[in-house]
Amino acid sequence: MSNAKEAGALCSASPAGAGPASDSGARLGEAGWEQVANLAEGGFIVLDDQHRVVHWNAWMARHSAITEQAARGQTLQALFGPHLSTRLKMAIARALDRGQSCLLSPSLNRSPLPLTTLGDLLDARTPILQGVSVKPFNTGGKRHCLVQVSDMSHTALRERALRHQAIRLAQVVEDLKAARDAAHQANLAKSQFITNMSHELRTPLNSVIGFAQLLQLQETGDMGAESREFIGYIRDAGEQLLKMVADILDLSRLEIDRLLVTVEPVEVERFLTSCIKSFRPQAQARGIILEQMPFSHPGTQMQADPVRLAQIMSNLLSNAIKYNVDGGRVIVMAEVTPAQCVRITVTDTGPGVPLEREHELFQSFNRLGAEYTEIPGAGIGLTLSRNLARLLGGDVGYSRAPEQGAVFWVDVPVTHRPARASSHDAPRHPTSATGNDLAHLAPFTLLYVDNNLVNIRLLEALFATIPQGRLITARSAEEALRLAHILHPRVIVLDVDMPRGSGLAALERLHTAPETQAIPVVALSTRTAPEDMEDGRATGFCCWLTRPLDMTVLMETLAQIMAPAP
Amino acid sequence: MVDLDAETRDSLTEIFNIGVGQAANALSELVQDEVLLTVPQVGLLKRADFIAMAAQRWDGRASIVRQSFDGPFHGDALLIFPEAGSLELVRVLLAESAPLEEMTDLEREALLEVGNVVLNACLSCIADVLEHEIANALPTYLEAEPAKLVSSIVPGDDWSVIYLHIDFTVHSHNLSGTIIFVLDVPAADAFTAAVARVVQRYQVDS
Repeated sequence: MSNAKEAGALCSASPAGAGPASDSGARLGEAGWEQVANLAEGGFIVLDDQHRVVHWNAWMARHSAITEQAARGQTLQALFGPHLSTRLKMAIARALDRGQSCLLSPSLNRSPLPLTTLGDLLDARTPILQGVSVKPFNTGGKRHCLVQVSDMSHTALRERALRHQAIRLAQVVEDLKAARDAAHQANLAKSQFITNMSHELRTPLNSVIGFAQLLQLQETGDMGAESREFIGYIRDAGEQLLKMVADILDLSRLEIDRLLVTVEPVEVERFLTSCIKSFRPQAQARGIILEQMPFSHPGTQMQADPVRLAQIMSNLLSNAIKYNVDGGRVIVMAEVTPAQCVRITVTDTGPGVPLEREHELFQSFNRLGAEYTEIPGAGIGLTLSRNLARLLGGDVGYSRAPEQGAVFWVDVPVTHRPARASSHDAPRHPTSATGNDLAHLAPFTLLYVDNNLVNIRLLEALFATIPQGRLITARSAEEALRLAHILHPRVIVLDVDMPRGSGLAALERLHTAPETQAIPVVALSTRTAPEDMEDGRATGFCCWLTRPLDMTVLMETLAQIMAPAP
Repeated sequence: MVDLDAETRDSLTEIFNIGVGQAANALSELVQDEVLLTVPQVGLLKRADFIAMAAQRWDGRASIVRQSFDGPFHGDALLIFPEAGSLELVRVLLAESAPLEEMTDLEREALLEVGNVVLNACLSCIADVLEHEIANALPTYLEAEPAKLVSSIVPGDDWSVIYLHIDFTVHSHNLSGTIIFVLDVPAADAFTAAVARVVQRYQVDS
């Protein structure tokens, strides 16, 4: 109760103590108290029960320009007139009449008393911002009160500076936010641009790859062995380029959050075996042994998008072969981690990643020096793999092999659902029929709808090799509908990327007309994302083929569609 | 639990509403804007019951303006706000355009003045009921858990606590606080006796 004690002390304090001043330890006399009050910082006014000044210290005299002699015996009202604030008058009345202490804060009371600074040589006096307290006390059987004034100008100045600083800081934060938003927008625009450009790049690439493949399929002809070799290079280069375009497209889709994944249980061992199988020819060409180690948890399933996970594995395996030594080894291993993940590691026996550049791994377009070698690549495979893995709730990482080479791992969450046949276990493209099967079919008519002349030319060249196949082409949806009504083709191949969504509109009209609704329609698109294919099947296409159109796949698809029901 | 019957409760609420009404006028003049203060509820509890209530009502620290009073009656008056509430109140009152994260010295001074005006008005009401002066010290500011504070400043289990919930309305802002008066045994006894007299007088008058 320190405050209560203070209040109690105030009530009994007697500043006018008496006694001999010469005795050591004796109480101060009136003159001594007066000196103390004059030395103190801040103003002291003592008022009696009639509101008259009985004490006025030097500080008050300095800052009010009223001497103690002039002030003594006067009321504040008489001294300051209208410059005395009502609030202070009321506070004094409360103290003297009811014994209550009052506080006047500088923010709510600009100038309770008209006090100013001393002024410099120019005599410019500025008002003092005051904190005032009024405390009652009793002495000589009468109620008095102490009015204490402190100069709060410095505090106010400091706070004003602080507020200015805060405003500036807030402005800086706003500016930074705007800059960040602008950068984000620019990044989105860049990703959108890359997405659009990648789409555009596919069309000419389709032609390059398609015609190269067509030339390879033509077994006869006057082409020499050297020309065949060159065509092989054209096709390989085209496919390499197309893979890069596809990776860049995925990366930019990841950046603008437009990449969707479909997660389902994937059985570890079977998945790895099928991934490795497709890399065997590439490994064998350089005498590299591709080894799959036995898995200690057979039958375990991962929770993943099989297409995207295969993309990650394909990047890791392709790197392990590309950056290996001739006659080296690639070891693929899977284990279940304590964090309930399947960790698939791909270890190679290549030169590994230079120690000083390890931190640059997973940076887009950074090839860590491989750009000066003949090994092809764009430097986005690892970034893409890591981003894809994270999207699937896992991760991709690197560690050095104990002796030589690199170890890359991918973590994929485990699912505990019981094993069941997944739709993706089935081949994604019909493989039961081969191109040759077309030869056993009855004569058929195929309507090909595409607004691109080069693509039409490619199909025409392909059909030139299929004697019982008759190709009709249409370059617009309207033309296609008219031809379908007249000629009743056995199957329609429709470019769904035609301008203004006319491809999908055409499909809808084919399906609503009784004469054409039974005709199977195959979609052909540059859109390769699994969700696009799913959408396509849901829309009513019997099959979704992606560009560049693989002639073999097209022929297999056609054979399956037209195969007589068993 | 000290029981206040419905009539006593009503009379007290009326008395305190007149008191805080005067404080509201003073504050309105200070901030040049209309400030409304109302007391919707008044109660009287024994120390232990109040501490139990406080522990439920205030989850964590609160901003508190404290004024001790002395003389024939001895105790403490506290104005309690949730921490964010006190800052909001003082900023609404000062109409500060560039608020800082923490309460500044000047803002704290202003809050102390607001507390001083309101607590003095309520202490005057109690003094009027008791027909005796209550002299009080200057307000101080502290941040504490109300239940812990009361259990540390109230020495005996036989002490009582008068509590009033108080609503501030400034502009369109509504803020709720609580005022408590911690009274020693003679003060509480004198107060309940005085309130009974007042109630009786009201009944005679009406």
